[in-house]
Amino acid sequence: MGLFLAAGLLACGEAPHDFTLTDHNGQRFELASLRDTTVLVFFGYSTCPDVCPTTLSKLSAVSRRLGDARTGLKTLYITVDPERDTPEVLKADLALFTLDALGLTGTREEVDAVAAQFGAEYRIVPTPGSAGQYSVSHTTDLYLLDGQGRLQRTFPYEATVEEIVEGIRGVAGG
Amino acid sequence: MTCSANCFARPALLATVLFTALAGAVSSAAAQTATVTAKDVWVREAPAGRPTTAVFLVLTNSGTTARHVVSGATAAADTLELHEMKRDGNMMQMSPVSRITVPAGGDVTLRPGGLHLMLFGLRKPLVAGDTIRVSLTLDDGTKLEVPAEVRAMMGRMP
Repeated sequence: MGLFLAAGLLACGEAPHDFTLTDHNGQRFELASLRDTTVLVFFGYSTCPDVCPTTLSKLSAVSRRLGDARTGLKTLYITVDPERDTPEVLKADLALFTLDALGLTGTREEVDAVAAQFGAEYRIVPTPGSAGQYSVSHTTDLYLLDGQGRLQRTFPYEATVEEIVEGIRGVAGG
Repeated sequence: MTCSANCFARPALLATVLFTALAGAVSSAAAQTATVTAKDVWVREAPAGRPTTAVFLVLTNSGTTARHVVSGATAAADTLELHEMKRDGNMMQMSPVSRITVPAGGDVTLRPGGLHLMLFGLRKPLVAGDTIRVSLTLDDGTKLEVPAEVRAMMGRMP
């Protein structure tokens, strides 16, 4: 917990983030390609029944609330279950939401490296006797990056649409 | 004419009364055993390629004994399991549970972020507006058959 907080504090407003993953169209994606765009990052997985759809719904509402300013915002949904979440799976999942988002996956090593950058954590939990075989416990924070890839805000899962919209406006200067 | 009409009417009336009494007895017996009822049953939509989704509902127990949902099934998926999502420190964790208790004279709400019915191995995409049927088995062996409305992902934010 101490380490997690320390990582979050150190990252906040400091060196810009950068990473490379594979997007839901199967293309390589670099965070650096989104300079001048406000970015929301969250970690999840597609077989997650609750938290991830709820977060995506909430972010769709954020996007609606932003109105025209939404064009300056990109959401990145990074899977912590890359074995199951292929680009195709992520694409089908995101198609259900009205949101300018990219689903991102990669090798386990690539995903681990990005999670470590943000201080996000996850744990594969075997569920013997369940058809799911395993579930993935994960942190549910939302990370708000400015147009230079610097972490400006972290929102807990419980953050409301209004709080997130306000945070984005603060960072985007609108 | 009048007599004849009465003569025909009486057996018919008797049959009606008997049928009503019988139906009343059957439904009151059913009411005694089926103390657990379901409402607000819905399932989250699932596009082609998504193998899982979750069912949410409110279970009410009008009886004086706590009942437990111990298993369930649906033709829409290979497997239905009882699951719970809960916060574990700074993480959200999903895990199977062996039963879901419906307290005597009370209710239990299965909702996003908490208890839910998890469907694995969806046999077809679930489109908002469709209905699937879900069967729940209680610890006393009774079954609860309920329709679940497929709802869109959108609009479910807290």
